Amino acid sequence: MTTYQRLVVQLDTFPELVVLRHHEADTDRAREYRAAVRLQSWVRGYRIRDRLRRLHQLAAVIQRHWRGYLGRRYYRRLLQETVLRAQADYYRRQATLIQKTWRGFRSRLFVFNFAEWKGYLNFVADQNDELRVQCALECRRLSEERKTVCSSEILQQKTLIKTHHMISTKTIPGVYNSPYHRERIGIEKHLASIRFPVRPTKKAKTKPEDKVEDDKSASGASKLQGPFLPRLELRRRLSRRPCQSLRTAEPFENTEAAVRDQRRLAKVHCVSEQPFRPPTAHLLPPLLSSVHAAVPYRAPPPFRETDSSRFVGSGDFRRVLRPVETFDGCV
Amino acid sequence: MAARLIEQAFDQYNKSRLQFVQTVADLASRPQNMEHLHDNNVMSLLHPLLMDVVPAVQQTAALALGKLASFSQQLAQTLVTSNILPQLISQVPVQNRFYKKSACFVLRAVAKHSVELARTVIESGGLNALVVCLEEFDPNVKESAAWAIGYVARHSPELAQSVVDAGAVPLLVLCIKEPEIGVKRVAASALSDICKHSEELTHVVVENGAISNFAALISSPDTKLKRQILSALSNIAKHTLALAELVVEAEIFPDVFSGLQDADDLIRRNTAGLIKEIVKHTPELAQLIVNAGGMASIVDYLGRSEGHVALPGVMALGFTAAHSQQLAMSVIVSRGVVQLAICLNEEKDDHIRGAAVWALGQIGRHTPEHAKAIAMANLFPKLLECYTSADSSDDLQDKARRTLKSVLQMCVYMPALDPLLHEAPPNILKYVVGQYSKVLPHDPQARRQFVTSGCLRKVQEIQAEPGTELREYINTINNCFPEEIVRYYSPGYSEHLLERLETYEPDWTDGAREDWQQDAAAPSGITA
Repeated sequence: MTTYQRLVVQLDTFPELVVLRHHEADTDRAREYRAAVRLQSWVRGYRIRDRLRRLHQLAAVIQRHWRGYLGRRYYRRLLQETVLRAQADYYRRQATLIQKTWRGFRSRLFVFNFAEWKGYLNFVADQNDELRVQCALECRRLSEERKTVCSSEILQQKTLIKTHHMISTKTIPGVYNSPYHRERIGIEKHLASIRFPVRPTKKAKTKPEDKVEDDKSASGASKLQGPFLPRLELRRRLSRRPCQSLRTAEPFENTEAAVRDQRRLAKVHCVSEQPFRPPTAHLLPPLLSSVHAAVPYRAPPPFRETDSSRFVGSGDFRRVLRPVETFDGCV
Repeated sequence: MAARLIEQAFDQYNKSRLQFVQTVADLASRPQNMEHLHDNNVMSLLHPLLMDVVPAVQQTAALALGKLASFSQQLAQTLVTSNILPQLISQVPVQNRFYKKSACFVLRAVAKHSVELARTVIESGGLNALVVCLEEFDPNVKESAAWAIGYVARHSPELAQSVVDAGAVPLLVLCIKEPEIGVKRVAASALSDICKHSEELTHVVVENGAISNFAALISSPDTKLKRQILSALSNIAKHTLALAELVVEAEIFPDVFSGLQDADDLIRRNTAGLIKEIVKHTPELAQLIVNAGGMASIVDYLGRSEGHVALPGVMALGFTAAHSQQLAMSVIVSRGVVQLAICLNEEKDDHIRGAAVWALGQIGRHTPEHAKAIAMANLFPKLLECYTSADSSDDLQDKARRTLKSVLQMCVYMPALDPLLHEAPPNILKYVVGQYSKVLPHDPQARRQFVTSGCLRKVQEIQAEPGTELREYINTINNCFPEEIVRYYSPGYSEHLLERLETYEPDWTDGAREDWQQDAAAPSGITA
């Protein structure tokens, strides 16, 4: 009963309740629908995300393992290649060293050696300097010798001039005259060949005075008497060397006697017609004078000869090909 | 009494003859009297006095005749045509030494003028007389005879051959050993004159042992003797290699080098001549001189000599450098190029400048290093000036052209080639451009230098026909640069640009152009 009663009581309000409930259902249907959709979509999304994440994780695992494998494979190959390259480089370097050394040696031996070239040029420069010094000394010596010769000649001339009066003449044979010789010998010969010098200092002093005096005479201020020579001409004639040799040497009456004397003297002086050679001339070796040996140019010796500690082998160094002596036609 | 008078008359006659002859001899010493003497017929007067009884008259007459003959060729000719020579010569073997000396003096005076007179002397039998005089003991006679022989041999090879055939050479070599300086000088001069003609004559002289005698006298202090000795040695050495080697083996080096610094001009010149003759034969002899340090002496000698004195030194440097590039580098190291450049600047005579130019060519033609040495001494403009100047002789121009050609073909030093590009004539220009075309493809620095110094512009301005070498060189150079640069520097580019400027209309309106043009075309509202 209670339920029926409760329901009957509610009957009046039942249709309104139904309507209200339908309305509620309706009014909230959309909302609830949307809520349900929202919940479902979230759940779906959650599930799918979860799944996707799981898939991603699995893919990552696969990829991780695959990449690790690739990487290790790559590394292994890289390692091999590096080792091979290092080995190849090492051999290449060694080969380069051998080739470099050989090519340098060969070109210096057969083609061009710069050190030797430079050494040669320095040698030429040194020789030049040395010769300059020597030539300067030689020139100084020669000029001094010339001066001494000149001064000794001058001294001799001076002494001879002071004793010029001792010359022997036809009437008075002088002190130095030898009665055993027809011609002059020794001091007599020098006395006969004296050259009387023109005195330069006096000339230089009186030159302007002479000119002035000549001008005066030319202008007729004080005319000299008679046809006199001008001063300079007169002095030149007085100081001229007299040619005595032809006039005083020979008496002009005896031609035959002079010729006879000449022939006799010639026979006396001539001892033998063969040129003189020492008796052991045929034993002497021929004189080989070579200037090539006087000034040699020698290149500095290679280290093999100076420093034998660096020598590797036991035997001596042998060249297979002959070296070229000059370095022409190259570079 | 009568005998005394007769004696007196003869005595007087003798004295007056002697006096006349002595006066004539004195007068003949002065050149201004010669004409008057000739007018007074002195030759025909002296002729009979040569056969005079009195020997003093004979000798003085001969002396006077000699002085007359030595003055001029005409007088010597008169003497020859008056037939004096045969009589003079026939007397020589008989007479004493004073006569011989005077006779030799006459022969010398006649022979020195010309070939024909010397031949006349020989034909009259003069050589035999001279040889007889050479065998004399008196040094004055020997000197006179040797002098006459030297003058005879000087003129031509045939005369020298006849001198040699007369057997004078051994006697001359003996004369060199004489203690008298005058005899030595004259004998050396005579041998030098004989040797200078030909190789056979030199062989005869050398076989008589002349070289060792000369070599012994090299360091004598007497100036004139040294001159003759050096000239004789150079005349011996110049003919063949064997003779030059003989001269060298006489151990004259290194004493000879002091002659290059002597105070006397002629000694220096003759020493340089000797070195030149020795150096020109083979590289070995040249190397000998270089090893002894001779290059520096020659360079020093060039520095203090000028004119014809310097010529043998220049030629010696040229001959040395011509043999090989090693010797040329030795010349460069001894500062030869610098000295030759100074010579080229200072000398006025074209012969010596030609020789200097030739020597520079020999030095520079071997390798680029040598050409660089020539270029660094700033010689290219100088050589170009020698080539193009109107004052230069043909010889100098020819030598300058050859030198430029041979040195330029080796030169890779760019800064020295730039001035040549602007000034050179076409036949030199092609070598310069050729050198550029060799260097520019390989050197970027040089390319930059080439452009900035204006040379590229100059190269574009050169006119060259296609097919010639010059055109190919220019094409090679143009290929080294980008096209825009080449076009920029080509001539007429600025006009070309200006033409383009005139035909160009700038488009700055961006499409409003048509409106603007329309507005302009429509009648204006204001005026209408």
